Amino acid sequence: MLIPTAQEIVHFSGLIDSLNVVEILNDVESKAQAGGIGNSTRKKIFNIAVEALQNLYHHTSDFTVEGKSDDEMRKVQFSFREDESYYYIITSNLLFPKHFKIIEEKLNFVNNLSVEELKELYRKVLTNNQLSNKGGAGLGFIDMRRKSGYELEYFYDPIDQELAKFTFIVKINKNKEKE
Amino acid sequence: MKELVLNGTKQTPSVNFNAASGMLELSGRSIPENSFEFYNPLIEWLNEYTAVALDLTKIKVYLEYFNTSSSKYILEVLKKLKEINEIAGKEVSVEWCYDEGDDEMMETGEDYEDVTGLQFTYTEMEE
Repeated sequence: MLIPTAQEIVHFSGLIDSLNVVEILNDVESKAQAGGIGNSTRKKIFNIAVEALQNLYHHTSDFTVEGKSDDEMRKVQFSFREDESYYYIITSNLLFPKHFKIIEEKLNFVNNLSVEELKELYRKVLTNNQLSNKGGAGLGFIDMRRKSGYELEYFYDPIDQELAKFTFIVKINKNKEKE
Repeated sequence: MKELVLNGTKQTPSVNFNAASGMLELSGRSIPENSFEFYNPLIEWLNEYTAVALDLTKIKVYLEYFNTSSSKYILEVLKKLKEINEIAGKEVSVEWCYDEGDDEMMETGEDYEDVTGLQFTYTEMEE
């Protein structure tokens, strides 16, 4: 089970489109404000939620598997949780194992970089004049890793021979609010 | 040349680019899913402005949030201004504003300053 002691603040399960991305973000923002979370932490949470949701949006909107319904394939979960020490942004979606390999390589790469190396990589990718065919900048994982300050965690659960469920977790320290 | 004025939304910043005064402003939040769609008109406006740029162009950037997909287009906007500065030989100044205590946004400005070589000034806005 994922982070068993964490309380759920915002939960979404379903198909993601540009309208509900905005609604979920509004919900995250208003709950974070109502919960009295300090500005600096609230901004980190919001920024990470934006990147995580837009990753879901860009990478699941055209996901199809022959013989399976598109709705079933494109269903995602998003969750904003907290426990005593951390806030968590958690997403999950279905993907092909071959795509997971690529994601895992990227995650392992950014997870192993120091603060300085991440800053350098961010600048390098920012200025490389490349955008993915889905409009992604290739900066999402780097940015989330920098904002979180912790390794980006993930789980991979094979469902059958051709599909797996990918769960992605970003932690934000509760006690690092700047004075 | 016509000014470019766009009202801000929950996902896109407000824009006020005025060729007659040389004052450009970009403020609010920039988290569109499709940043190209939003920023392309700004880049096109700047392409046209390059030919008629005043001796001094000032841009004020005050963004509360922006997503990584916007970050590349913000760089494109700044690169256009660098062209005005370098190729057209006109002065360009960037005022980078950020919310009080938002050190990350200030540092992001420093990244852009280093990468573009434009002259930045920093203003911490009181909440």
